[in-house]
Amino acid sequence: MKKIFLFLATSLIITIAFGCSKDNVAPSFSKFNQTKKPVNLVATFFKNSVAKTDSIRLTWDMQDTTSVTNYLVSWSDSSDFDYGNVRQAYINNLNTTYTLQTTNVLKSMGYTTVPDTLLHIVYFTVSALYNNADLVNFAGPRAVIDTATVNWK
Amino acid sequence: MLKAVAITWLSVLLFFSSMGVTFAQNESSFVRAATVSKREAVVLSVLFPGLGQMTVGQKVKGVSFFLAGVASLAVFVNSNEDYKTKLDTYNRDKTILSDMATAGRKNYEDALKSYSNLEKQNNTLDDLHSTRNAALVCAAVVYAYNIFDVLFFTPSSNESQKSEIRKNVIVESALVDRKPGILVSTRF
Repeated sequence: MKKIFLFLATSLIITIAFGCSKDNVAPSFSKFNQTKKPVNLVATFFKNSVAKTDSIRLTWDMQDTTSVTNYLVSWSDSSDFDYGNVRQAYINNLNTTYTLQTTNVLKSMGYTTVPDTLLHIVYFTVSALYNNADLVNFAGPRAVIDTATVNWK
Repeated sequence: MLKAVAITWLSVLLFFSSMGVTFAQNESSFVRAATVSKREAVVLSVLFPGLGQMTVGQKVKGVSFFLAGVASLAVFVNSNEDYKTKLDTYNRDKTILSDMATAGRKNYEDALKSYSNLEKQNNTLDDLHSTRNAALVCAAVVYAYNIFDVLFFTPSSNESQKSEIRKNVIVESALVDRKPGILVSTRF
């Protein structure tokens, strides 16, 4: 009887100790929280009818550039950014100005001919790319989206 | 570990059940097994809640203990397995989130989605952990109370009980060309 009690008590203690330990630890987002988003993003369309080189100029500000190595510019044809034709371009410097050729922007989203609507809205955003001990080529949060209205004609 | 304990426990239970059937095939042995002493009842209750009470004739109490024990163990085993399975998925997704920082060409928005998903999974795991512990505590309480009951509230088999059981068994066995299963049910 005593042996049975001892066996069961030991089994119960071992079961509780090893079988029921809480093994899940809450996830941490601290690595990613050190990233900042660019501010004051402005996208401006420039019409150049003579040279037929229309362009879109993007400017933004980045106050804290610690660990920022370059920027990632993204554009989409949808106000719900991720659900549109999203394209990206990496900028290999820390300049806060970038100019895109309108034709290239539109072609990249699949528009090869003049659409029915002469005016076309393109949504732009920019992210800072971080490189340090914790992050490798990691694109930080996106800047508030700005639009450029492209005039085809 | 838990499975091993459960399997061992069930094996012991099955072994004793089969012994009961063997006893039942010999009438004199069966009568002897039916008139269990308090010590034997305690041993049976130690093996599984309610068995001791059932063997001394406290059928309702015995069945209640037995069902409570089975139910709490079933909930415990189920939530434990669920917890382990979901924990594997959670750990895998957690590694993916951690790797996003150094994998290159990953972005904050995807990391945020992954983190939100992980938080939900973590909450689910916390709930499962609570359920599992509650079921285990229930099983332990049922088990402890079952032992307490069989030690202090279960009457020991006296001679009148023995004769009554003996008479019942003899009458029953005379009626039918019985099978082991019928005799076992008569016993409880």
